[in-house]
Amino acid sequence: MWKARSKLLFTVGFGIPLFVFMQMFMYAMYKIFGWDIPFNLLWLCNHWMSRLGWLSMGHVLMALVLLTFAGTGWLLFDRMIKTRAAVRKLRSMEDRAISQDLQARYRHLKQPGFIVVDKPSPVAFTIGLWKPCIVLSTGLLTMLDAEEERAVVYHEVHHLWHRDPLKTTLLSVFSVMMPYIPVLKHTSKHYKIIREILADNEAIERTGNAAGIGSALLKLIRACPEPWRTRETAIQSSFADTSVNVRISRLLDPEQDVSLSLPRYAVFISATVILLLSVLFVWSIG
Amino acid sequence: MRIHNFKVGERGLNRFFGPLEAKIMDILWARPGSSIREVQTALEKDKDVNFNTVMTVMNRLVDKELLHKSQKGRTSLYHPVQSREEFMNDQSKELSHELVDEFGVLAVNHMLDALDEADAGLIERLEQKIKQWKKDSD
Repeated sequence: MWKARSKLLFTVGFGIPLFVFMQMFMYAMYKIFGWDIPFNLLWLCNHWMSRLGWLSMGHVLMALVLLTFAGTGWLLFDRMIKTRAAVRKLRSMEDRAISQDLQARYRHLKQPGFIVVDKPSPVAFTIGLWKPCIVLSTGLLTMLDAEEERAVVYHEVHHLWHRDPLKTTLLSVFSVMMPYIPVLKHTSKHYKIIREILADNEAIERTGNAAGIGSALLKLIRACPEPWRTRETAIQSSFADTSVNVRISRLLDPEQDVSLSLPRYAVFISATVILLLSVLFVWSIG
Repeated sequence: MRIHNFKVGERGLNRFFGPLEAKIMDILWARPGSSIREVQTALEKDKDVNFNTVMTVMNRLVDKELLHKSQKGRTSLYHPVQSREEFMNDQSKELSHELVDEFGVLAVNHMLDALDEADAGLIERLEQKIKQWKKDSD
């Protein structure tokens, strides 16, 4: 069920921007090289606005196309460069002996790359767009027992195998660059939560129980400064659907179906934008 | 300010300070500008403590740039350099946001997202459940 949800969210979060990009590309080709593309929604939008006398709409649409392409390219390039710089910094803080030890112990998991940083604070994440690697800290390894360590490694290996940093980055960049389709923002957030749940599931399946990953998660929560980590709550509120709360709920009751509903206004606005383009299309060719 | 001696097994302020240091910081955050004698009096509500010990620890906190010392006549008054919130926020950043602070948004999937807020009730239930799992497996 979670795998199907994950695929659906990725298809929506990636498919809609891909469709918009294709439309924008065709429109840009029409404006620059005069390509004949009568089924382009932006072209039809431009055509319809021109009929109404809004001639400047063509410039506005072209500006939107250029801004979207340049912005997306820039954001992706920026995250790629910064991620590489962060990996270089992590390498400079690496305790190579422990990294190699982990690499040898977990070689059977398709030889994942580890960077164990020499830091007392607990750290566990997967980083990298093209060649992701798992980053753990010496503080975390000291804190965890053998079962918890295995659970954390299986959790991170799931992210690594499925290239989650790349996928979540793409969805997040698209959602930033297309704010007029607000459903993308929620898709991106929910996709991230579901990837965490699937990574937890990987750890549970491989360790044979939920105790390891649950206990490791609990230690990580406890290790963070308290005023920023926890809140007392009697009722459901906006933060109750943050990744960690959804994951704890799942660990407490694996049969429970955690609903991750999209806000109605986001669906409404997104549907309106897409519907509006469709109406323009039908009206223009009619 | 960087705290080098982070204790993963401890909770709250005790992660960053020794037990007496934590109590002194707590007192001074509640009453900034206290003298050594006033801090000692506050500490003695729990347990007897020597004046010289309090003075040594407070001057060590000045050396660590956690306290600022000013003079009022012949009495030294001590003020925390940062508020409790500023201090904890800095340490929180120091511990888990260092990379994001330096590099911005990265292509990364955290085991525990730094922006997540955990529900205290759920944590409590998870703790109970883990105890039960461990008991069952014994």
